[in-house]
Amino acid sequence: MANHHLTDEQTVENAIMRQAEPKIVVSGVRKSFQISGDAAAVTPALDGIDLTIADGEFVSLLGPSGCGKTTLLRIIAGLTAADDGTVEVNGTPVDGPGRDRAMVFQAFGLLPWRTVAQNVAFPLKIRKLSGTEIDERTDRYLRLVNLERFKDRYPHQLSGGMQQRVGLARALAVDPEVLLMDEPFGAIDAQQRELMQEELLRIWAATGKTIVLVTHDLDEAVYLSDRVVLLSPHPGRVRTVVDVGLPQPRWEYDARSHERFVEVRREIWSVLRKDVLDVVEREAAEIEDRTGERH
Amino acid sequence: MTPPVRAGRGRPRRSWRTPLLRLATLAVFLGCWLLFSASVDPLLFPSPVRVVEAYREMLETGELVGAAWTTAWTFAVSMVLAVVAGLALALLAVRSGVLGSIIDPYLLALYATPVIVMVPLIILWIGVGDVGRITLVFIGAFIPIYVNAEEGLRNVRADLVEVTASFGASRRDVVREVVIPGALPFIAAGLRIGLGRALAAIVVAEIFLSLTGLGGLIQASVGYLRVDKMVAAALVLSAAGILTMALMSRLEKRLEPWRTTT
Repeated sequence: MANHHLTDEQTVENAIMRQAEPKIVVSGVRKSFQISGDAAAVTPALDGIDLTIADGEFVSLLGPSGCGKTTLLRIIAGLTAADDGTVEVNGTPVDGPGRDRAMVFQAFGLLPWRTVAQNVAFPLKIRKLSGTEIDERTDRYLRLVNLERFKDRYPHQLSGGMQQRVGLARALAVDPEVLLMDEPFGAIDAQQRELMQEELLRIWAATGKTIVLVTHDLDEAVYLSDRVVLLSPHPGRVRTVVDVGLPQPRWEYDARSHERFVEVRREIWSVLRKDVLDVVEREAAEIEDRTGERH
Repeated sequence: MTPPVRAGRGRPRRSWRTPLLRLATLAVFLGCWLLFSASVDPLLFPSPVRVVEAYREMLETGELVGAAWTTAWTFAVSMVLAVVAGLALALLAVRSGVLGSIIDPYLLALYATPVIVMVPLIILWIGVGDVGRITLVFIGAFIPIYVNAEEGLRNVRADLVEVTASFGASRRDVVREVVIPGALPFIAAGLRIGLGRALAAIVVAEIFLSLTGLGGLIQASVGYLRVDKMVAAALVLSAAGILTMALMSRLEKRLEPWRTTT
């Protein structure tokens, strides 16, 4: 895995390639949710999102709760339909889940009645690969996430971090071009999370996948991504896009103490802080409204 | 990154105390029975020795095997029908959506009614033969199987349906990989309750419809004051009940290995 170290020059080259080869193009995506039963109460979740993600790029969608970052990821995944606008992957419009994309879920989404190996093999079976191909890929990707010893265990026998590594192996085993990750480390304790982030960077460097990651963790977004897309809520819009520009490979030095890390973090936080304050105030007002009606 | 090392799974410590204690209790129980039966009318309260003799007698005449066979096949036929009908109706109810909400209240009312209340109706409408007995046992077992299977099939993990769909699973894949495995624990619970209800119902059927099987043997033995034969037949029924439940536990372990491993 360590043979894919990118130098600064390569990072620059990647940045140039990025403009040449868009992998995902999101244009004018709108999405509203209707609060059940009340036709008038429509909340706009996403309001005209434009975003281009390059081949092999690592992009994080960051923002406070209610900014629609998960909705945007689900629209790219084809699990939710946009009201308006289009998403193209490799120039093909997305109209449902597809083989070019695989998703990693916050709650892992493992089948409790299947062993670790069977969980990884499941999407391969759906794709009707041959038995030997399935076994070979299952073994390879379980080895990649260091879980080959646990292949015959059931998910509930594993820790949260191990379960998410199964989720990651399952997504990688289908060999997608785009890896979509919905707060993948949100349910994992803080120390394990840092190790998982490092492991994800190594896998990214080794496989060259395009990764779109949703997170509410500012440090995670800065540490992992080439670019951080900051979304603001009510309605969800792209507030700003920040190029992180930290040298790769980031696991080889203390990236979190790097001066550029601190700088980018401060830059994003100055914008994010205001949005989070707005969300907190809005939530407080909603609670007052609701309790006011009741009394 | 190396996975955390798990502590070696220790083999469950084998305790000899529980079986020993149970054996001792059984010995004390048999002793008391023996002593007590010596001091009362053996006709009303047979000693364990008399019960053993009753077994020998009934095995020689073929009475016991014949009765047990009748009970066993009635039970088997009724259970198979109850499982098939219960699961099929549950599938239909879940697929149609409305069907369940229409029939569920009536089935629950039927479920709350003790089967013995159904006896006169079955005598009048169906008769006291094999079909009547099978009907009564079927009613006892079918409803819990249906209700639980329906609940299990409705309790689909929506998150897992989405996960499998995201990997391009077809409807059939989703049913086979998510819906059915998720419903299995519910189905097993329904089966367990159904078995218990069927065992109770079959004795009622054999006593109150046609005097046959082990239930009939029990009732008839009391009729001509052979309490020893009655106790012997009753013990066979208990043993059959215990055996059925043990087989059910086995089946559950086979069907749901993920729930029994730690």
